[in-house]
Amino acid sequence: MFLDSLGMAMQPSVLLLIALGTIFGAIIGALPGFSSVMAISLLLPVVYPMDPLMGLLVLGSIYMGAMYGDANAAILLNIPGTASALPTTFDGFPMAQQGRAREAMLAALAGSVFGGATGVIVLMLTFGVLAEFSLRFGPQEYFWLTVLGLTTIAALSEGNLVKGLAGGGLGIAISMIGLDPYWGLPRFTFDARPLVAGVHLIPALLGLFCVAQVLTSLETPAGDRRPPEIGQQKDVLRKVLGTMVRRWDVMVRSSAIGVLIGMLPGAGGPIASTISYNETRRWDRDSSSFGKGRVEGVFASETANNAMVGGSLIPMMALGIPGNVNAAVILGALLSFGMRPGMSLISDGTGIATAFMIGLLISSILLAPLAYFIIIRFSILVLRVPRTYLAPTILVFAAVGAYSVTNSSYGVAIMAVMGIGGYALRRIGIQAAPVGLGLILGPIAEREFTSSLLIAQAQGSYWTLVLRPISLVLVALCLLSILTPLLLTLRDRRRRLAAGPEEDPQ
Amino acid sequence: MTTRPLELVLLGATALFCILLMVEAWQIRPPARVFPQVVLGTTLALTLLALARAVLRPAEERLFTPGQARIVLAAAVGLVVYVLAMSVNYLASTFVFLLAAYLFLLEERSRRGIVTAVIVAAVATLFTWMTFSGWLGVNLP
Repeated sequence: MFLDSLGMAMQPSVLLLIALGTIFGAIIGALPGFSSVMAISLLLPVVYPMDPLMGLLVLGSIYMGAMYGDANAAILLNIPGTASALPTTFDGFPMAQQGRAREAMLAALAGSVFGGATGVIVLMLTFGVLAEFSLRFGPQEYFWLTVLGLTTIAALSEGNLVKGLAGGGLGIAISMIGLDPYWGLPRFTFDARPLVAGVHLIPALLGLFCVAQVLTSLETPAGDRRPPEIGQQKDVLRKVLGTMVRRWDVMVRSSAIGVLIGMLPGAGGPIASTISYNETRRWDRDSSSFGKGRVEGVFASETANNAMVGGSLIPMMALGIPGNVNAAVILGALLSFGMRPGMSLISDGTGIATAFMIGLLISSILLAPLAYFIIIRFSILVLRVPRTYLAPTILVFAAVGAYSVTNSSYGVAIMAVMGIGGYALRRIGIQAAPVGLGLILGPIAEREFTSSLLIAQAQGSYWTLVLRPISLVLVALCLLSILTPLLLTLRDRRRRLAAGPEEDPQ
Repeated sequence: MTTRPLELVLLGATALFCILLMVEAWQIRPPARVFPQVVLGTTLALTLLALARAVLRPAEERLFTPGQARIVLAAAVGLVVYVLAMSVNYLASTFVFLLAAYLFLLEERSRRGIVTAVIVAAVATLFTWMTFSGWLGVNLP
């Protein structure tokens, strides 16, 4: 079975798609203001008609590429391509200012390859164990798992737990428009015929993560954004690889942090790379030199945020709970292909899941030659393209992509409404991630809840919804994910009050 | 102008949306009615809580700086017009949308800039048409 999957992943057409996906992801990831989620969601309509393995590999490769690509703008312009690359700016940009831009970019590449490969290997080793454990899950456990996914994403929404949870609820409410899954009758359509088809997931995600992001990027003035010339550095590749081997502790620790953080639903690249950078600095003998051009700082940040790729896919593939928003969008694609997370991915006999993981490993390894010979040069060219041309072009790609999924203007209308609505919600503090997750997990939650309810009615007790060992643990985790931010806020408030007026300049 | 008016309108609209759906949910036969009612009820409660907080909290954050409003609103309106026009003819509407957007966002409308905008708009339109219509077989209008 493994050999069959290996054969599937090594076909020339598959390898070509992996390479193209990696390059595309790296280039989009390099563009400040454009996120890795946008890169993935932009290609959703393109992969939708594809063979499931090819489609998943394109999206996975984009994810892997974007987690590396964001480093180039961070190093050259001091602007992280995505939030995950913020710690890369701390030492990467000073290195560029010291004439060591090439060294910084190659360090980012080496870290990304090492971290990415490590994360995928851990995914391959642990996915089966976790998926087998998921066989003990009934509808009740799956229902609480989806609630856990929703609450943790919402709880980590910037600033406001209430708004995050409301956003998740809104996403679920929108996903309910269309046909009732139980009776097969139209519901919440208000007699509008197009709404009987429901709100299609892909145009909605395009709107939320692509259109809304473009509108957000238009808020800030583009300014003069010219990356500096890189120049030549002698023997820099050998120097970087030598440092990487000598500082194996940084590589291993950063990979572990990336994988573990990636597995936590709701945590993401920014948390992984920041924690990894802080830990590397803390454990270093000369921690005061960090922030002034230490290559270990770049290693730490980039290794962690690429290791997070594999980590975030572990709960997604095994349990259907995405580790972060990128994994959530890939989960949406998985469901669109008619596949279900869990043991069925292994036992269905197609070998697609294993081939997907092998393909991701290939993507992380291929990143080395692709970035060295192509991506770095391309990124610098693309970084010179003014936002004037990029933003409208991306809107057109999103619109035609939305049209292609539904073969009608209905898809484009969904994209526009979700995009403008999503942007407006962002301005009032309701982020796209909880809404998007509600859209993706809502139908799953409803199906499992209704099944659980029927089982409870047949058994004559509604307590069976909660009083099962695994369900109890999941309910406790849900409560913890909601209560923890509240308790932390209360603790901070109490500390501020206890500190008294001395700390208050007013 | 602060974000408060927008916040009140959006949260109010969300609350109204939940109420309308809850009213419709009563017409669904059980057990399919339970999940929508639970979700909508919870979302309504959270939205009303957020609304109350928005009313009681002092307004601080600015909605837009003067330059921002013009660009973002123009982009949103332009997108809506493009979506409507796209259903009539893809090539013409896309070229016009891209050209108008590029010219609007150009910091300096020099002759060279305008010519570049026309060429890029044409190339981008043809590229998207060839990718989706030619390669992926999508039946664009």
